[in-house]
Parts: sequence; C-alpha cells; structure tokens
Amino acid sequence: MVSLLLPILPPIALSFLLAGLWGPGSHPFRSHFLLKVCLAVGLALGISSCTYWGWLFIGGPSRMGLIASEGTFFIATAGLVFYTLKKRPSRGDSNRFSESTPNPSDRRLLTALSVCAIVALTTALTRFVFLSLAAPHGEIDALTIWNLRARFLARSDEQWLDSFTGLLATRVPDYPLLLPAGIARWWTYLGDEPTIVPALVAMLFTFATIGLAASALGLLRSGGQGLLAGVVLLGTPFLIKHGASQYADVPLGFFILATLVALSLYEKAAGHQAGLLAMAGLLAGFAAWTKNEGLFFVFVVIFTRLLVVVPARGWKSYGGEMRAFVAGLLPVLLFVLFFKTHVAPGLSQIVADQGATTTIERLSDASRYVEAGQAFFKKAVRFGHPGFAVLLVYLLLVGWRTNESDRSGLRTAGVTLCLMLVGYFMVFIVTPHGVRYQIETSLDRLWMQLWPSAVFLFFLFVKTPEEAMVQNSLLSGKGNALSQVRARQ
Amino acid sequence: MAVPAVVTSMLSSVLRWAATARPVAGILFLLLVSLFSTVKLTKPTEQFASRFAGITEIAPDGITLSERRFSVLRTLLPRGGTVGYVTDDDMGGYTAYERYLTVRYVLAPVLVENDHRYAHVVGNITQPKTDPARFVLERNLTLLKNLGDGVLLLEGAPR
Repeated sequence: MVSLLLPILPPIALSFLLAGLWGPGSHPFRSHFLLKVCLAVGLALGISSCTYWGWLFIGGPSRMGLIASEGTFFIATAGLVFYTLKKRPSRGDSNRFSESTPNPSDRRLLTALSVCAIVALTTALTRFVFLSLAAPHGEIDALTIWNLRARFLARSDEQWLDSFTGLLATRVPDYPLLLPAGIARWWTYLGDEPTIVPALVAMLFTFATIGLAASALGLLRSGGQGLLAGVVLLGTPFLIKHGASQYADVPLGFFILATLVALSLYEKAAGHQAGLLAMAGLLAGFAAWTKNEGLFFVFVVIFTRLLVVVPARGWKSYGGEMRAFVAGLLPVLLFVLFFKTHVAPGLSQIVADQGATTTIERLSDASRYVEAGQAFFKKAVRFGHPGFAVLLVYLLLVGWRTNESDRSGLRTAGVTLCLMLVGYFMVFIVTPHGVRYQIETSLDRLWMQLWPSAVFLFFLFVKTPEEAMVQNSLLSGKGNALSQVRARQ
Repeated sequence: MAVPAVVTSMLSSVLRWAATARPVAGILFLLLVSLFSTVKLTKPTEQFASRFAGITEIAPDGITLSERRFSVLRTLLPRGGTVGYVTDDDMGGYTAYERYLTVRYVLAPVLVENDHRYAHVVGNITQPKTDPARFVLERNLTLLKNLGDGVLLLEGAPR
C-alpha cells in the first residue's frame, strides 16, 4: 500500500507546504489542517500532471529521468517554500475566522452532527469502494477518453507524440490532460498499471471536494455549518456514483469549488492575501487543465471579480488583485495553451461545428430555449438527493444571515455560478448535436461540476445551526446565548 | 368582540413554540433527507453483496474479461501505429460500438480504427454461430492467427 501511494506523496507534501504558505491560520500546518490537506490533494494532482507532461516533452518517456527531474523540482520548490515560510511575518488573521470555543449546547449539536457526518461518510465510502470494484476501469467516458489517454501516455515509446496525437484526432481532440497525465505519471512511477490508481484519483477528488466544502465552511461560518454541508454532499448519491465513474466532472467541480473557497478566504483573511489570490489563480488554472469548461470558468472568475471588485473598491484594487491571481494562473495556463496550439490536432466538435450563420439560426430558435429551459428547471428541482427543493425548505425554516465580511465572497461565488449556468445554457442552445441529445448526455454531468460550489454558496448564506439553535434558546428563554454568539463574532 | 385572554395566551404560546421548533425542524429535516440518501446509497452495495453471496472469487467486470481475451493479441501487435478492426457485430448498435471502444482501450497504445484497410486487422467475433473461416473470406482478409475465443489477427490490404 505504501509503495502504491509513494508516487503521490512528494507532490502532496509540496502542495501541503504551499497551502501552509498561502492558506489561512496563524500556524502554517496545524491551523485548519483538513482544509489544507484537501487543497493539497487537488494541487498535488494538478502539479504532478504538469511536471509529468513537461518532462515527456523534454526528456521523453523515461522513468528514471522522470523520477530524477521531478525529485529535483520538488526538493528545490519545497526548499524555496520553507525559506519563504521562515521569513514570513506571523499572521493576524486567525481571529477573523470562527475559532471560538463552543458552549455546551453547541458542543451537543456538534457531537450530533459529527455522528451524522461519520455515518454518511462511512456509507458513502463503502458505496464508492463497491462501485469501483464493480467497474475498476471506470465508466464509458473514462474508458474512451481519460484512462485511454493515460494508457497511451504510459505505454508509448519514443514515438509517443505521434501515437498520442493520432489518438486525440479520433475523439474530442482538445480535451486537456490533467487526469490522463496525472494517472500516467503514477503508473510510470509504479512501472505497472493497476486499475486502483485511477480509482484512487477519483476517490481523492470526490472526498477532497466534500472535505474542502465542509472545512472551508467550518472556517468561514461555523463547525456545525461545515458538518451540515458535508452531510448534504455525502448524501448526494450522484456525486459518489459519478465520482466513482472516473469521469473528469468531479475533479473539475473540485477545482471550481477550491477557487471559490480561496477567493472567499481572501475576502476574510488579513494575512497572506496575495498568496490566497495566487492559489485561487493556480486552482482556476487546474480547472482549465482538467476540462474545456474549466477554461470558460477562468474567464468567468476574472469577469466576476471585475463586477464585484471595481464598483466596491475601484480599478486599482482590481488590477492589484488580478496581478496576484494571474501569477498563480499563468504557469498552468501556459501548459493548456501549449497543448491546445501545439499538440491537440483540432477542436472539439461542439466548437468546430459552429459557423456564424448556423449559430445565429440556433440562437434565434425559440424552441431550443424552451426545451433547454425546461430541462434545466427540472434538473434544478430534482438534482442531488437533498436537491435544491430541500435546501429551499431548509432556508425557509432556518433563515439566512450574512456578515459584511462574507458579502464579497458570497457575491463572487453567486455571480460565478450564475454565469457558469448561463454559459452552459447557451452551449445547449448552439450545440450542433441537438438539444435533446445534449440534455441526455451531459446535463447531469454539468450540474455535478457546479453542485459542490452551489452547496458551498448556500451554506455561506444560510444561518448556521448554532445561530438557529441560539435563537431557539433565546425565544424559549434559556439564557443569553445570542449575545454570546454575537460577542464571538 | 374581545378575544378572551386565555385564547391570546394559547395563541402566543403556539406561535412561540412554532418559532422555536422551526430551526430544529429544519436541521432535522435536512439531516434526515441527506442520511436517507446515504442509506439508499447502500442499496446497490447490498445487491452487489447478494449477487456474489457464496462466491469466493468476485466475478471480474466486462473490461477485465476483454483484457484477458485480447492479452495474447496485444503481445503480437507493434507498440504503436494503427491497426484495423472487423467484427460480426452490427456496428450500428450501441453494444457493438461499446465493444469496439473496449478493444481500443485494451490494445492501447495501438490505435484501432473501425476499418479493414490496414496491414494488420483485429478480428472480433462475438456471435457463437459465426464461422471464423467464412468471416475472414467474406471480408477478403487473410488469417494470420486464430487466438481463440473469437479473437483473430488478420492481414488486410492497406489503403
């Protein structure tokens, strides 16, 4: 087991150092440990896929060369991060987050929620393992796109580029390579191709998504809020099922969520703000390196920050923010652009088949809007098992409350998700495949890319269970708990 | 008409109770729906367990079986390039297309094209009634090796 995990441990360690350097908390490693581990998992898979792809171009498919070059890169970067960490002034942002000691009633509530979270986690993990055992190579798209490309990369000889370009030409030529390169790298290290590797990658992304949403909300709102969000995500059967299918939608959903989490932390942190922005840029870059929808997400985030920051703080503030964001984004974006311009032998059919005349015809066809609109509405009501309808009932029962410091993060997440939905909707309108086909083959997956972020946004907005229970105690005359909560905030 | 004091008192108690019970009901509601979903998650797990109850070795999935079926052929093919593919399946059907995609996955990094005009062609016979010799003859191909279990290595006329 240790030898199986060995290839991913160095990038995880480096990513954990980066999360410690840029992330929140007074202590780089001990503060908000779960949050940093979850971020490190995604960063590690992103970074290692880039180092592998870079090495393939420079050194070819040589296993020893890969190990030596990556080892040098990881050690040098880790040394640099350590040096920066030692020179970093102590943080003053801890008291901005909800780290207060819970009172006895909060503690009971947290215990009850923790028990529910453990039950949900155990069940979801069991389900994931059984699904992976039943389909160890993944479902059809994993087989025909992601894992097939990983096999081509890992198995090819010196002629790997010709062979790989030939494969790309047969289907969705410009789909980026975070997953195939990450899996191929892991296999190359092992010198073998166990099916457990793609399954492990899928498992890491699925549960890191849930852990990230829960730990970030625990930090930004309250422990109870984080646990409740975790239970809702664990109780979304399609997230577990689709995660186990080894498709790229759950990893993309992770990077979308992680970018929004980093931006929300940035809004609330007094510490390393430029670092959090750079991390948001890096994570957004990995979204673009995972799927084409991730490239659209990068543009959406940059535009959303313009809409949120410029009216509130002006162009200068936006410019400064973008410098840090792009510093993180650019290295990964260069990989994406290089791949798309020098390796990918064409564009995906959905982009390539768009002529100006046909696109205008499709855009002016009202029936396409009706069909896509109905499908989106049905999906919105029914998606996930708890789904939006259940979240709406919860919101009506519990109510909402936001702090001034949360509002900018909330706006960013809200506007980003709305623009992403509008973008996806417009793809359905102009698709060359037909609206019905697009709905049947991709609507579920597109929702899944946004669902973890939608849950994160919802729980940023809604009252925490602690606040709701305090109100309960106050109304029933059981002390001055509300003033305690206000004092803590 | 004045409302009796006892009624207003009862009404305010009910309203206060409703206000205090609401958040508790909300949290319980969300937890129960989410946990119910996770309990439902175990259903396929139970089906899986019952399906294999009493069987000491878990039956491999279709892709793993295909990997075994084509393992010898893989060793005979070059480590790159493109080979053709012929089958007795109706390639218009989804299952046939899925089988073809499985062969592509199994034989990577060789690129498998659904066409017989290549120097090497993979034959995939899936119907028990199909006669391999006739199958090869009908397609103007030459049999290089019959590897059994419907797997053939054929020689075609390149484009």
